[in-house]
Amino acid sequence: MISPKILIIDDDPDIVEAMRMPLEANGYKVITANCGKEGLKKAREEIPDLIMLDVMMETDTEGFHVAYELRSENHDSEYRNCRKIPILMLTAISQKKGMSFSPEKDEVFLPVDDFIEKPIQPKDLLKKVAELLVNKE
Amino acid sequence: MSTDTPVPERSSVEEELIKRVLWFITLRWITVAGICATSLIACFILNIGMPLIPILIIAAGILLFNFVCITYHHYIKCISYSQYIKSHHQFANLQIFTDWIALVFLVHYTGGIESPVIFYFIFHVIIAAILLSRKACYLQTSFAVLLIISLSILEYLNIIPHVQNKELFPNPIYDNSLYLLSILFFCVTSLYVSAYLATSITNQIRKREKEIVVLKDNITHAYHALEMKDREKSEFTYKVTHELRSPLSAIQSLLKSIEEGYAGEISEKAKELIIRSEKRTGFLLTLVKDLLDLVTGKIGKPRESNSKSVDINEAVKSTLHLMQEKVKEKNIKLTVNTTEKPAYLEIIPDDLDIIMTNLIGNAIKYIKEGGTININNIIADNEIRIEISDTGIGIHKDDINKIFEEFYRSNNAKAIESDGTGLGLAIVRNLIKRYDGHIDVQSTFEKGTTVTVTFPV
Repeated sequence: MISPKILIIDDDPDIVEAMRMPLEANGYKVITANCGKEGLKKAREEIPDLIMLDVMMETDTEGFHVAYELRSENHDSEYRNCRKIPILMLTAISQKKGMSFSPEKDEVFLPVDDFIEKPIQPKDLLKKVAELLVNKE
Repeated sequence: MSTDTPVPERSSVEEELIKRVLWFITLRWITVAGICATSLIACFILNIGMPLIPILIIAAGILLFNFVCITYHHYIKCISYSQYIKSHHQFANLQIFTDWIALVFLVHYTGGIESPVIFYFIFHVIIAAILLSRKACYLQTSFAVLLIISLSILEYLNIIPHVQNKELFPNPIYDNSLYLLSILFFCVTSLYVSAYLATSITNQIRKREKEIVVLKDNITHAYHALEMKDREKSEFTYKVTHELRSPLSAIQSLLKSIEEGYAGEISEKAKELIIRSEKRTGFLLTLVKDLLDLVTGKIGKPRESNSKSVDINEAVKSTLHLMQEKVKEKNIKLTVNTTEKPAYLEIIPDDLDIIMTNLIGNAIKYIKEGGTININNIIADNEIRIEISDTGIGIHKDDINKIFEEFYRSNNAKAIESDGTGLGLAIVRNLIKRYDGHIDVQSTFEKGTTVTVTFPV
């Protein structure tokens, strides 16, 4: 069986390391990018099975722009092959989903599949990754 | 200094002066009515023979003049306020000057130096003192004195014919030089003494008024400066805590990976130490989160999300859902009374989340095993109320006023939970204030606490 390939886009090498250890220990292949630009490039070239994306990198919302780019509906988009890759968004504490109790749908909808909060709990991380990969198939 | 300090207001002294000019104009209507009424009564009821026509012509003249004055007042007020401020002295001077002329005519037609109308000169001296500077008031008084003296001398020398009031003075005495001198002496001195008294008082009042205006300006200035400083302080805290968050998250994440053995086998002792370190960084992360919530509420940073209609029943349910493990662990008896219909509140969901998590979290944290927590959601006329009552450790009456202070933790709270930041209630209060709501805490020490949060709808 080919091990699933996970792309981590995060500018904090320590967070990347903290995620890489449990992921590799569970048989995932991990590739990394330390900024949005590099992340987009690697996503296009490598077509990973899952993308983990940090929100705040060089700018406070760089991660959002990467997500919009990857999910662009534009037919000529360079990233049209990445549209189906599940995205797991990394958020710091106090950056909530904003969809907690609302009875109606969120108007600011982010094109991501799930969120995980920093600091990373390995168990939580592995559970979410596994879920997203199963759903993908 | 900040650019958003309000445009300096019109000084209240000037504002007051302009009001007084208007008041002066209003008084003149009454004067005209008074002149007409008095002269008509004197002529037709008391049968005092006096030239009614010239007196009524004078009254009509004053009436006309007053129409001009009121029109000018409204006109220039609309055109240019600063212009009015500058020219209102001239305007007042002109009015008093015209009034003196009218008055001297009235005096002439009612018997010259013998006329009782002569007392009315004192009124204008007082008005001049109120409206004008001290110097201008004395000048106006001197002008009045000049008018009275000229009138009496011209009548004395028969250059102007004297109007004799036979009913009041059967024998004319205006040509008695001793009488003339004594009347003039007392008239002149009473005018100057009135001018002196009135200007002394008004000058003192004006000085106070100016002091008050300066004081008010200073206070406003100091208040804005203080507000700026407080904001700068909050922004600084925001930046610092923001910077602390990423490294702390990284440390915590790495420790967790080591603890769970992803960096290779570790000894039991090492694992224990790692767990202890994690607990400490965990506390720091909570502190950072609380500080961020606190200053975000304070400086009104735009939040990532917008406000929405949130049903408070749902909010309470979802907060409790996240805490159900602790509720079970402590065997807490929990009752929630929801409203019959959904109770919608316009709020940023994250803010309500922080408020609910802190308040319900406190109730759960500071309760003994098997305690009771009641949550009542209530819709009243113009408000939504959430009451959270617990049978917890309660708050000592000495502490009740301090619990909203930043970093304050009561002794009995510390005894139960050593790791608290003491920021929860400060955060909650700041957030509630943002929505014009208020929070009320009732507590009996060692018996329990009821927290009531009210939001206007």
